[in-house]
Amino acid sequence: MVVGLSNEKDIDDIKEKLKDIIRQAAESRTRVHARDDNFTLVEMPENSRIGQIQGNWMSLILITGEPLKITIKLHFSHKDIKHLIHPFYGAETAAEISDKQSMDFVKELSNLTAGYLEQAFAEMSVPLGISLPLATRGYYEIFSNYSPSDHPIVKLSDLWCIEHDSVKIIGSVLIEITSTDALKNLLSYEYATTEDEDDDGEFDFL
Amino acid sequence: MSNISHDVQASHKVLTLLEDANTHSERIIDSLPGVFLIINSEFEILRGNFEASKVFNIDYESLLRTSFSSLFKKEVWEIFEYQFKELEKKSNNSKVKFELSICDNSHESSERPFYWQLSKMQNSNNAEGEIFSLMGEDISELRNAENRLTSIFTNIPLGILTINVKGKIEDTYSNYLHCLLGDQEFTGKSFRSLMFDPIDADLSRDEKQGIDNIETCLNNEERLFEALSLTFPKKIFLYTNGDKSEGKHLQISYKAVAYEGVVKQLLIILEDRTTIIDAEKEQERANLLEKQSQAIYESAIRDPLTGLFTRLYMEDRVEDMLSNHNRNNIQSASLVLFDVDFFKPVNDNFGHDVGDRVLKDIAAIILQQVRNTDIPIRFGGEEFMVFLPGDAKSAYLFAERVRKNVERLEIFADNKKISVTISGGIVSHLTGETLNQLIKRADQLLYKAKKEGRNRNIQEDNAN
Repeated sequence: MVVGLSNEKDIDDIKEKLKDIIRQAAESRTRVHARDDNFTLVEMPENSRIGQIQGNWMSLILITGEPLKITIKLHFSHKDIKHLIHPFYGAETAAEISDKQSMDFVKELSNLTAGYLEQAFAEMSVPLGISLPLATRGYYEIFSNYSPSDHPIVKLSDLWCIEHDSVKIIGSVLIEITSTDALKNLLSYEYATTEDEDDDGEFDFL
Repeated sequence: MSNISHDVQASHKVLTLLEDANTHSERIIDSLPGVFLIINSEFEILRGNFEASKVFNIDYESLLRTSFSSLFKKEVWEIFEYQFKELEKKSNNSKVKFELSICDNSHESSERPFYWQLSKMQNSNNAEGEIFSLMGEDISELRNAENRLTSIFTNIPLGILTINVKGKIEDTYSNYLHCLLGDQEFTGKSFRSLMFDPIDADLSRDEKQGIDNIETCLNNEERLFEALSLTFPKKIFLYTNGDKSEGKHLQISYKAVAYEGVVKQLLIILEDRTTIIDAEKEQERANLLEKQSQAIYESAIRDPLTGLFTRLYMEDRVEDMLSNHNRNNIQSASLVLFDVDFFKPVNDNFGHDVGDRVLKDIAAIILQQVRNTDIPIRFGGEEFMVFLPGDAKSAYLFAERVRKNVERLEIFADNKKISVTISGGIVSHLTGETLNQLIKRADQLLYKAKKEGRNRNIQEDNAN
């Protein structure tokens, strides 16, 4: 049973704010972690549906607290990630990067995104905890249930793609709200811009 | 550290273990020896394993969203599509199994047979539509082994076929069947019409009942086959158009192919025994000829009156005995030459019939006294020879036994008792001596015995 706001517009605004803040977290952390500001969040093609398999692999992480649960999944291919990160390891070609190194990169990206959200919600007096990031095969997405609902728990989902130079990391999220009242500060939350951020690409979240 | 922190740590540990377990399971799927694919209702590949990547010659990660239909020739895909459509109509976890050969579009010559299992999976969201798992096992090696076996069957000099529950020929497994039954299409033909109708007139009542029993067994319990198969015709002489000259002797064996205890097929093996039977007949003819030849030879070497050997036989056997003595294979060899005393008067006074009886009775005594190794011969009219492996002394003892028995003979003719005696000359063979020389020496001793009063034997040593 959802506890809190009765104004439908407020609830819709909270839903949109939640999507926006998660998208912003995903995009900004990707830029930071990939050391490339050219990564941009774009909408998925119209024929894409959430729940479809978006990549050979996916990393997933759970952010949870009293008023809400957020499950973020980052869908990727090793080919893309290895192409992106091989310079970080001083490798000349993507083939020199192992699957584990590729996997660790995306798990770390999940962790950074969740950490970013944890901090953002803490600023709104909404304490959340985050799980370990896990990685598995992308086809497990077929077992996910993204069906939206407004009662007794508000459920919503979102799907996006962050891409640059043929590298794509697709994100999907399931948001489950049990208390909109606790999220009312979200209505007045202002997103931090890149300039506002005081970190230099390193994010201490643990 | 708070309890909550401990709980979080414990949860994190469990998650890590689950992730490791999942990774391990996925690696097993990746390394499956056969093709493994997960496919959506648009026939796009959602997950594949290394073997699928290898078989379809597609980079492992590029399998995702590859159109499954694009991997095959149109006619192969149509069969897959049919199986997908059939499965779509069924409930979750249903499966279909089928065999289908595949080749990638660039290597049409390298077609490989696969055994496929297509299953409908359960999924929690409908974003991908129906989800199917497909497992394919490369059965090339199995097929190659089958082909080798089929090749053996095809070339084996046996007719091999199966008949179905209706008694119709379902499959044939050897080219030799055409040699046996003529060059024709067998599939679908009645086994009875093909094998037994042309020779119906030659079949016994029991054989006809056996043919009926073949049909009774089909689509019936296996144990009925076991009982009735004893009555099935096993050997027939098959010919067509009434021409027995081109007929074949066939041996037929029957093996039930049962499913769940019911005979659904009969495996029938035809063996052409014509050559064997012809050879057996030839052998019988040869045996008969040999017997006839033996009888002719026997009549040539046996004196019909006395049953003793003739001079013809003597030349074969006696030469052997003397040769053995020359080569020291035997220590000594001796000859006894008998002649009936005063035989001419017997013939003259009592007739040839009585003379023949006298010769017959004396020959009987000689045959009673000889050993298997001795050679008794009727040498001439009333002359007998016995060659013995042994020295002259033992030959003399033999000759004396014969003489005394002859002396005791009682022959009656015209109510008169006829007394008969014999005389004999005994010599021991000298190494290198010819048969004629030996006989000549014995004849000299015989002459001496006659001269000295008859009814006596004279041995070489005695003479000296």
